[in-house]
Amino acid sequence: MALVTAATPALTVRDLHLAFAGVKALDGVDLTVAPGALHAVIGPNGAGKTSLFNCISGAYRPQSGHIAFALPSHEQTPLIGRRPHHIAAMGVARMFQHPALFPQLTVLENLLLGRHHRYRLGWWHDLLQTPTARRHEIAHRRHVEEIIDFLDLERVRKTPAAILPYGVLKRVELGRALAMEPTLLLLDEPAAGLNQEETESLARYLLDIQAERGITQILIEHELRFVLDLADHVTVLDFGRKIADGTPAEVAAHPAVIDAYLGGGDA
Amino acid sequence: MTLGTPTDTLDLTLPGRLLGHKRQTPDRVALRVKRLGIWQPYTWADYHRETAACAHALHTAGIRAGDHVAILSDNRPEWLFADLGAQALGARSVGIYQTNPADDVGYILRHAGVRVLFCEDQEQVDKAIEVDAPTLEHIVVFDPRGTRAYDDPRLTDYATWRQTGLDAHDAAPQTIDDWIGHLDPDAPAMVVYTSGTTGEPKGALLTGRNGLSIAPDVTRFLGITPDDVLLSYLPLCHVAEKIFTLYTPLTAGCVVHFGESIATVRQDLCEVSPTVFLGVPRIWEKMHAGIILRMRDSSWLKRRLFDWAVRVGHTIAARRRHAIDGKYGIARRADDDSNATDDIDATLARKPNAIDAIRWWLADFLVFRPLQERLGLRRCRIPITGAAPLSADLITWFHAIGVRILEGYGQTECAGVSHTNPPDRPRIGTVGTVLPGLECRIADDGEVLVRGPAVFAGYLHAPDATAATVHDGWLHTGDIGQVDPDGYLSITGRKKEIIITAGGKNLSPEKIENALKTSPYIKEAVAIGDRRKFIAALVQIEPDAVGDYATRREIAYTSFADLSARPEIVALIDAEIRAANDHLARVEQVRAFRLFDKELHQDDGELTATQKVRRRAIADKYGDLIEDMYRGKKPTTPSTAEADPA
Repeated sequence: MALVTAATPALTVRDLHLAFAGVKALDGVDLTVAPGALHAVIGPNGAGKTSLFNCISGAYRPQSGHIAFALPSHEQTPLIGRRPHHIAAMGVARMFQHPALFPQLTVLENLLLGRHHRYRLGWWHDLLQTPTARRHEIAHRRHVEEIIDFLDLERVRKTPAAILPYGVLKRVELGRALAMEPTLLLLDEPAAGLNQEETESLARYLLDIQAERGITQILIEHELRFVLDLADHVTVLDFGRKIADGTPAEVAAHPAVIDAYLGGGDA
Repeated sequence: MTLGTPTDTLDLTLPGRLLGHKRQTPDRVALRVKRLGIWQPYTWADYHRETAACAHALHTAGIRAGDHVAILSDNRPEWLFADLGAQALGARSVGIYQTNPADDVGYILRHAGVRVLFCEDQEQVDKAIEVDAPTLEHIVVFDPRGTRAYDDPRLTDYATWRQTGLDAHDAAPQTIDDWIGHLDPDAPAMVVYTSGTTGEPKGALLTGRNGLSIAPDVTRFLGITPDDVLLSYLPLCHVAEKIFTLYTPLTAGCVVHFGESIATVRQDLCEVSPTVFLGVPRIWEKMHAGIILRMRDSSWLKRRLFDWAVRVGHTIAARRRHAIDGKYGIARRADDDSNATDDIDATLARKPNAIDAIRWWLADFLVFRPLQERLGLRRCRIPITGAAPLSADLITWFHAIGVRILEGYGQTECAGVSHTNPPDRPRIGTVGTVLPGLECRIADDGEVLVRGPAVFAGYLHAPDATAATVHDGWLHTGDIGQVDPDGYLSITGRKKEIIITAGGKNLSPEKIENALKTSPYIKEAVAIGDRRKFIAALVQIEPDAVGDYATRREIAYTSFADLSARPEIVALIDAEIRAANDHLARVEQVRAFRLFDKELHQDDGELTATQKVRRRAIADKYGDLIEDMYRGKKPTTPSTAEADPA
């Protein structure tokens, strides 16, 4: 937890409001994510977790509120109003709950595609196979190979995504997000659909991402137990509102959380 | 004990051999390792430098001659650097299986008094930290991921460790060669713990001379040259892999490859396409099962073509063997009434002719070549099986598809190998002839005895066990066997595990089990029948193949236990056992069986570290199941063999 410092927050969300035809998805949500933290956002179905991610990544435009993202230069920049691809290029990557991969492409190709926005050369370089193009290609491949090594994907490097089992597919999806070289990683229910063993190995990868790569991670989960051992900080949403915020121990003891998870709430 | 002359030291110690290659061919590639998707070479000069770095770092850590340095890791070049680095100081390397549970790791650390331990990763470091090991001073981790927050003061990562050593080596580059020059070829250089299917593991002490005195003759015998290519993938704590990763390459100068991980062995094998390949029975059984199951899924035309080619292969391979020694090259015991070889008829008793050559070429072009390429064995001149017996039927099958497996034999206690089949005259069903430089004889009770410079220096801290194993220089192998007039040895089984049936017949459980394991659906089998009226077996299904079988027939199942209990699966195994019985003598045939409701596992004490079944543990643990098989059941004929879901 040494990595969680009082420095400029990696992400600040202030008083966020989002409504669809009168249904309030987010009702004044505040969130402060410390740099390098593994920050969990939990809540029952319909609590507004995914809506929050969609606002951060630029897929939804909230009616009001502020989202400030710290660039590598520590300069704060607002995210609301920016296009998703622009936000991705600034260093925000998202691991989707349902893997966003091309089924007919191999794992290697899918990961290389994850680096698409980092390709800076004109098409004529590739066409002419210039030395610059080759150098860039090697650098990209090397970066992807490091991710393959990091996530133990060597065995499936040349396997098309379509025939991979779900557990491996989730790992490839995480790899695709990492290939974007993010400073902020949004993880949308990464453990959903995984068995016990796969969940444990995923948890290990998330801790390794924090320790070895120093990437700030926001983790959405509806399973309370999974995040209590894993996260540095937990925010609890219910009906679009923040009902608790603190360390895992504080949150687990919070009456509103016990209420939302053990009856009452939306049951 | 005489001190070795410098020539002896260079020839008869592994670090000495390394130094020799570095002096003669410094720029030739010695090792290759696949990192980040690319095969990275190490020349002999690099190999020497990395070893020197590790030796210096160990020296700085206080390691001296006679100390113990353990390695708990997957196969990787650093394994060799640590091993040879320790040996260069006169210290002893101790390999520990990565699959060992923490308690077993602790036992070896304490028993050998290990002072420095090299670990693969966080998982292995956790074991080392957890156990009580009072002598352990340093834990060096190759892949430090996940251990950065650990506060154990003994922990160092390999990069830091290596840098310390490199600085010391660069400051005094001659020191390493001086150390190596003073090594004694008759001092123990390695401790190899034998897994042993009974009792605690024993640490066999191997000297440089043990492994290297006969190595030049053996490489010549097998025809291994500097151009040969190997893949190191079996556990390096086992003496068999040491032969192919250390002794052979350091003698002949061939290139050793290290793949990406244990999970990628199949792809690595295809990419490397080794010319010399060691497989244990499990590997060959899996390859065979993989091909058979794949062919069942393929089109009618492909199946017919495959069957035709294998038939042609069998015929011509048999004729070739006949041409060599007039016996189809298949050994048969006088008392063996099995019909395994009866299907080889008189038409095979002639030399292959021109038409055979054309048929072989066609079968090779259409079927065997793509098959061998898929297995990564197309370039393999010397495929070897060892470490445990492999069924003769399976070897015959591999010969038929053009992979001429040579069976070898040996003990950890004689540096791993004492017999092997000669590549030009293999005889299936035997483990071949005794190697040049060694002697072999059969004791009055049938036990195989071996003598020569390869016989080990004794067990670590166990003089009684040593005295019980070696008499007058003769190593007592504990195996029962016989030697035919041409000097080919065939092994009947382990002396302590021979089954004597109620009818007084001596049977080898391994032979029966291997016959069963030829089935792609059977992963493990334990034959039972000592002082019983008939042979019965406990069987573990191969979960992938059987799961696939069940899915195709829409047999629903949840767990391994559930799958094993399905009547359809019991019927499937019943049919497989009946088919296997055709290859066994009448008294050996399996008349009853039960299926295990779980996979056998090392952590449950059911398998050794080399994944061999511990028969005694199984007999104790599954006593009820065994009694159930025999209870109130008359010995049935094989055709009515039956089983209830366990």
